[in-house]
Amino acid sequence: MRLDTLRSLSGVRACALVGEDGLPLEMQGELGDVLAAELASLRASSERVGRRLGTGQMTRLTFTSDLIEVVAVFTGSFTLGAALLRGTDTRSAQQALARIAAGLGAPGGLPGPVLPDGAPQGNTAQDSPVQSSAAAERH
Amino acid sequence: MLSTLKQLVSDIDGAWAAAISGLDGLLVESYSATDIDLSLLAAEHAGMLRNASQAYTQTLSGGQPRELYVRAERLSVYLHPIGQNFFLLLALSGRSNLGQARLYGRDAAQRLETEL
Repeated sequence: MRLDTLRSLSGVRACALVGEDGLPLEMQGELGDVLAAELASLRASSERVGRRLGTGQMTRLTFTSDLIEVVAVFTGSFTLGAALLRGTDTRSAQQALARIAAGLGAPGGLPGPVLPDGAPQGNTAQDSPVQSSAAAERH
Repeated sequence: MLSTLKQLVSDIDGAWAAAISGLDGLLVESYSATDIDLSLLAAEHAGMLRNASQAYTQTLSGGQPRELYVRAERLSVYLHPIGQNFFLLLALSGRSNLGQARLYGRDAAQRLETEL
């Protein structure tokens, strides 16, 4: 499972790999499905903010609350994120997310997004091989 | 009940209507962000849910359906049974968050069951 390295890190309460529709491809933790749905929503909102502000492509999202910290990276049309106990050093989780995201961007990692007519777009990495190394660099 | 439906439409990305219907196809309560009549939506999907229930319980021995989702070119609908006789219907756009629809719909259905 892609998320196994995240699950083993100290402080991780939930993690998820989710598509644009909010459905998790993989998830760990009791609230993994909730994390997945809300990460998809947050990504959509953050991308809108980025468009309006002219910030360029959004690649990462983090926020902190009283109890948890959430870190997430965007890879293609998918979002990979983890919720950690507040106060946990998030660097290991962020590095793990970046490594997993780079692997997802490699050929055969994930399917490409589905076009509006229902046809699959194909593996985005196969369409653009340079994305895998660029993705690792971005994350 | 209406406030619950309004909250669902507000909270779920891409949702444009929510309704409670009986399995007989008659609307109990509804809320729509558009002026589209939900009666036909409820009636058609009541039939779908009845057929799915019959297929799963009698033919496939799979137990009662817990949720049903249909995605079409211009319309997507998520259904969640409420008790034995009713169901929650969420009408979704093409770029909706089905994950939210499932989670919030399930929670709402549990709350609504006590009111029906």
